[in-house]
Amino acid sequence: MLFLAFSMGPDRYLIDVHQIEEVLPRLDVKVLPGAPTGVMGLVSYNGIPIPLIDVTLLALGRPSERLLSTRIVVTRYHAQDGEQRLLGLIAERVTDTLERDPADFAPFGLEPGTPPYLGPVASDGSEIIQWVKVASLLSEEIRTALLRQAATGDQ
Amino acid sequence: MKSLTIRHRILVSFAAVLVVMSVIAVIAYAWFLQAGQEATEVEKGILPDLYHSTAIMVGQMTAHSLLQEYALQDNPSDRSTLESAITTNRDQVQRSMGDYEATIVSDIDKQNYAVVKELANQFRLAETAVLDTSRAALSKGETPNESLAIKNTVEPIFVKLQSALQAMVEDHRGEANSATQRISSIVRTAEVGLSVGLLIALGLALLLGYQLFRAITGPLTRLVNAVQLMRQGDFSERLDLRRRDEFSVLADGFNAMADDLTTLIGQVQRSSIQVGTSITEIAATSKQQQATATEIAATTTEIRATAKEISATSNELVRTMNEVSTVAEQTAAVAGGGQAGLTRMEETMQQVMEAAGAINSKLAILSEKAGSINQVVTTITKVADQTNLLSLNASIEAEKAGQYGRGFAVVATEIRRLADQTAVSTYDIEQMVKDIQSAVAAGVMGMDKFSEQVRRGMQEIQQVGGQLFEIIQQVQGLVPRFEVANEGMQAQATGAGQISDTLTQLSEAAQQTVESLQQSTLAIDELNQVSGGMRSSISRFKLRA
Repeated sequence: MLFLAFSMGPDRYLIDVHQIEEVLPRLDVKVLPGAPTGVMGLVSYNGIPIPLIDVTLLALGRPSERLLSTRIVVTRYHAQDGEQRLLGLIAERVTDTLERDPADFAPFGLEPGTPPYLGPVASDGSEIIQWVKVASLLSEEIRTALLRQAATGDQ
Repeated sequence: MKSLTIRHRILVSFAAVLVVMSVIAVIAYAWFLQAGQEATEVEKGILPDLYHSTAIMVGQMTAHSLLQEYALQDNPSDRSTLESAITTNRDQVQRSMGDYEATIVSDIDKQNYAVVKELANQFRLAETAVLDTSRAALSKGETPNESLAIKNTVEPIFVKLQSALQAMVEDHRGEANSATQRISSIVRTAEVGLSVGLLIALGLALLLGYQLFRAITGPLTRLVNAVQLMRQGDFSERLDLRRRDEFSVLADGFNAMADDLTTLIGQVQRSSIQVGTSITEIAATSKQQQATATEIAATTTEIRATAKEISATSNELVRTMNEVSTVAEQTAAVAGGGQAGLTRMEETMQQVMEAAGAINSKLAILSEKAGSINQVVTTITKVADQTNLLSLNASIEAEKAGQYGRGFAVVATEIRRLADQTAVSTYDIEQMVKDIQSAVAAGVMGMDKFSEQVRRGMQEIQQVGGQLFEIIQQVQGLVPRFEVANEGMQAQATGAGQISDTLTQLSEAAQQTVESLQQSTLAIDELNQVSGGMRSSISRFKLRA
């Protein structure tokens, strides 16, 4: 199974490539005033506006550095109404893929005290890599905001 | 009293005596006026009354005696003679009574006169009756006997009339007596009053005269004493008369004069002391001058010897200067050689500087090229990035394609590996270019420093060249100066000889100065004695502390 690797601070994290639509370079962002923390705004993907979330800002409280290796990952997720929706994630050092067996990953035992998007971990050489669940990246607040956004967009 | 001036005192004294005398005179005048009035009264009022009353009394007495005589006569011729005498007497009495009546003033007088007049009428009537009877008897040729009729009718009336007249005369005599007594009493009072007044005037004159005498002699004595003290040289005494008259003014003047004299003498005393001090100082100074003059004489002799030495030394210096002149010419030649070498060195330095400039321009070109390389590297980096992105998406799509994308996934991974290697290589190139650029920058800086040092060296060479040129010029200029110095030295030797001669004269003059200073010392001694005399004579004045 193939994963896309990215960084938050010094650590490496993985996203399942089956959830990924495409990896894009940094694009111009339309800022949404009054949006919750972590929501950067909207980007145009094949002519469709999709919401954009800064993972580094969400996890570490600081925006991603403006480098060439900082890229936008367009992901797909199942919304609560059962529809598939697109979500853009800004992350650092999105330059590599990794082939791993899902059985290598194991729970780390501290899940109740940590954010819900942090999944099981595996070791890669000397460092530990962690699976990130895209669907859980959205907090209730952001989800509500996005729903409202989507409803407005439908009209 | 103390505030009265002497002038006022004199005026007041004379005025007091004059006032007393005037009062006495006025009172005396009043007394004498009174006495005069009394005398006038006696003369005008009392004496005529007395006279007329006495005349009336005499007339009546005559009438009575004539009637008695008439009665005793037998001869008719005698009788007629007597009768005419009686008539004449009667007229006389009537006149006297008329005169008296004109002088009557007082009531008593009037009463007395009325009684007298009545009685006189009765007497006249009785007399006339007697005379008529006798005349009738005679005409009848009978011998009249009047005695009885007279005794019976005339005598009682006459007695009464006589007593009334007596009373009248007595009354006037009493008036005259009392008036006289009054006059004499006034005169006595005037005598006593005048004596007392004169005594008072005399006493007052004596008292005031004594006061005046004291007012003048007291302060005068003090003034004389003060003047006596001052004459003896004691100026400490001051007058305080405690009064405000001419003597006070005189005392103030005296005090002011004493103050002025005290100040003057004090100044003279201080001046004499200062003069003494100054003379002592002058004497000391004169002695010092004498010593100094002696020293000058000795020093002059020494200087003369020194001048001779200077003359000898100058001659030696002239020889030495000639040698130095030769050495200087040689030095100038050597320095000329050094200057030529320096000029060549300067040219070489110029070439080095130009070479350094060329190196700098080459380095600038190198830096520019490195910048171009950087641009190329950036382009390569962007291409590698795009390649990486492309390979990522390719890998993702291949994974999604599953079994069919397996081969493509390998290709994508390979492409990504190449892209990563390219990125690493470009990073290396970038680092190398940066190194080159910093090395070039350091080289440029080093060349700049080198150029600067070369420039400085060139400047120093130019300076050294200039200094050498100056040295040459100065050394060349020294030669004529040496000649000037030589001449100066010779002049110096001559001058030293002249100085020696002049100093001989100076030595003689110093000797003369010593002698004249000895004379002035003698004069100062005399002056000192005179000053001592002045001080002792002025010291007899005693001044107020």
